[in-house]
Amino acid sequence: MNKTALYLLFISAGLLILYFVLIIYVWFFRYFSEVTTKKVKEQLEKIVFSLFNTANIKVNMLQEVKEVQELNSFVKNSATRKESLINIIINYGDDFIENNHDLLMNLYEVTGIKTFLIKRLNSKSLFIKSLTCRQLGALKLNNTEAYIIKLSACKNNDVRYNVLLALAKLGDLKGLVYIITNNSYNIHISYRAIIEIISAFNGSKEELFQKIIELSDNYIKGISIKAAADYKIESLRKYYIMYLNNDDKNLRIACIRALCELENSDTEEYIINMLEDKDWEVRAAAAKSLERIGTSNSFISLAKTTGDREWWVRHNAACTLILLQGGTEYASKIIDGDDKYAREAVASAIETID
Amino acid sequence: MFILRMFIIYFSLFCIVYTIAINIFYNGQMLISFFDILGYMKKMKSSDYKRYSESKNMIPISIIVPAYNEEKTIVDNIKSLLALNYFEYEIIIINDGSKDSTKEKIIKEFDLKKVNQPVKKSLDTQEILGIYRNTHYGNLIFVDKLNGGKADALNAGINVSMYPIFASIDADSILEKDALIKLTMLFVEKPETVAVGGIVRIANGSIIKAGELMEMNIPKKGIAIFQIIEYLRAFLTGRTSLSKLDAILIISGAFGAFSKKAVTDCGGYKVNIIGEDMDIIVRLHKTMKDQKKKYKIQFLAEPICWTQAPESFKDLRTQRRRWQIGLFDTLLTYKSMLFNPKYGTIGMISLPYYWIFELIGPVVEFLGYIFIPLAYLFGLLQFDIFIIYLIVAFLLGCTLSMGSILLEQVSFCKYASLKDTLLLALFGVLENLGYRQLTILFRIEGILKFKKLRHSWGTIERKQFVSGNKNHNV
Repeated sequence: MNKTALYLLFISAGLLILYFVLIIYVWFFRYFSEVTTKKVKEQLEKIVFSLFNTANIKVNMLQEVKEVQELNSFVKNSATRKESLINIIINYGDDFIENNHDLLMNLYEVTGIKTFLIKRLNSKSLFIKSLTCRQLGALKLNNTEAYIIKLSACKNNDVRYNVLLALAKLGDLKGLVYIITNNSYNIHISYRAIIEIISAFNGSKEELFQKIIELSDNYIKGISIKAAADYKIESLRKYYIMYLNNDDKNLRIACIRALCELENSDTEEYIINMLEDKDWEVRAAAAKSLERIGTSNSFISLAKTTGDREWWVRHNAACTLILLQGGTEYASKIIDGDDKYAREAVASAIETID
Repeated sequence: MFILRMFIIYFSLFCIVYTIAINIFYNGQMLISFFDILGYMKKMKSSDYKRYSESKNMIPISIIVPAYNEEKTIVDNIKSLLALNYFEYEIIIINDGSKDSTKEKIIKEFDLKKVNQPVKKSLDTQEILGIYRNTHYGNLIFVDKLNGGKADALNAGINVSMYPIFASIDADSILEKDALIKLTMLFVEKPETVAVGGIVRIANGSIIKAGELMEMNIPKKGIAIFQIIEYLRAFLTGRTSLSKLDAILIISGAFGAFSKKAVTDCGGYKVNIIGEDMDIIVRLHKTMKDQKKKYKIQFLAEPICWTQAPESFKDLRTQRRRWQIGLFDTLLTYKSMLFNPKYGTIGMISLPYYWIFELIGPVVEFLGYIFIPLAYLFGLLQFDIFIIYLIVAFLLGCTLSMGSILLEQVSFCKYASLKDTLLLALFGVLENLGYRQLTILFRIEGILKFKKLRHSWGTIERKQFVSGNKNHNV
């Protein structure tokens, strides 16, 4: 009992002292790290600013430029300083990187940043792999796509996401299409993430969408059509119409929305037909979408849809009917009608929109 | 007499073993949390959340704020929500039959008018008396309803909401600008996510202006500083580690985001209970595991919700008693999950932990304070050993607090100055000289008065947030 008590006393006192000492140590470590990092950052920013404000730099003779030599010797053997330099360049923004692309590509070679980042892609740490992909994409570092694609087999979501994002930013159409279309079951990132990746693509979006839609399964088709909608690409119209009858309801919904974004009144008939779809989500999407392209041709079908068995379908149909020109007068007939649910939907739509 | 002496010896031994066990468990939690938080901070360096905060592709979210007698803080709360860094969201304030001027203040401040908005009744609630909006604040919806309790108000908010994800926020809380986007990113990164919780931090003493935290300060009152330590322990150590083990049982009602479908599928919030935040999480676990669905419930230590901590012992007592009653209620309701391997880490780790250490823990600790001195008084324990065990109990308590402060320093370091850090360390020690023992008594009171107070929230005094304006009332 005595020994046990004493052991416990030493352990608990020891732990307490250790934690307290660590608290003080961590505080001072953080303080001095921040001071050092701030100094390094200021110095690097000064050199980089001076470099990019020097007139008439010959890109192929960059090694002879005084600021580059200064930069090189400053970051040469330090991973931390290279990271700082990378972050400074990224913080200058996409426009700066785009406008100074050639100069930066040479700078990455001369300062060893390219080699440094490619080496980090082989790191055992998933965080470093992920961060490195992000940095390669943000810096638009050419000729690194082959190294990035090797990581596409990694099962970690963050790594996969950043691999795809990097390939998109580097404009690697082949690589991006290959991973997305061949590996959709293993990608396991949400459709929103895929849409963001597609929207970050630095190349012909039309070509990208065409290739993905043609080569992928229904799930990825639906996502890419959803992403394509915002770009109003007329040449994709044939795919939207083609897949309106597909078994996959999400694909049908994506096609409806994409067709409406094209704002072509010729497609109204196709959308009106979708008001009879077997899935309520599709009917609701069709009702909502007619708000953009609907005409008086839609009145009869929309009026019928205000009596749908599903709340959201009735609500969307009623709101669309009210918003279309001449629709309010037509809707007033429904208020006098026999269908209680249709009357309710139209009445609340009139009041809400007012 | 012999039996009594033996009982005292063995119970005292049990208390000592229990104290060692609980501290090993807590220190283990601290270690898990340390690595998890470090991993999270590294991950955030490569996170794309800033892109999503401006993207119309981001999941739209409904922020539901139940309000009952919140006239002092509700306007600031709404202003902070209107300023959030998020592309598409709606704010649904539910006035749950307040007896003060909560409703009048909101309507006046935002010039709201009554509208006839249709409500899809997925969940049963008390009657909604009116819905108010203003086109100038297109994403603000004020719902006035008959009193039904917080859970009922949340269910009403779910009925009114139109987005697939909802966040439940307390009316006396302020969210940091990026808090919502950091929280909801998990739904994008891991599509199987059904619930995510953020951290709640104490705003007492800080300067909040127009719903934004301008300056972070340590509170002036000791009782609030003690609560900072407690919150650091509970969130940074406790919830982070349980989340890592997929064993989290509670997401704070003050700040959590949920999949609307998952919540409505399991019946929504249970009304007429006071631990609705823990109940919904346990029910989500049970429903998802019963249906053998893949899912994720997680806690993130970075997205911050600032809230007010009680500054009087009366209010603290009401709060802690309520928390213990809520805990007891939920544990009893789901006792069939206890030690049931069908429920994985929930049944085998999390629920036993809550039963043994969180529910019964205060009772054992309290009895320890009685039995160990009794053991000495009966001559069963030598004086020096008695003193050593008292010191050990005190030191172990301090160690947990110190460990949590260290975790805070290593990770988010919100209390940046050396003075604030040392002050927290001092209070981490002082906490064990009366404050901790007092909260144990409040928790025991909760257990003893469980049946009587099972459905009672009690009242806690709200104070307006300090705006830094000298003429402003605090």
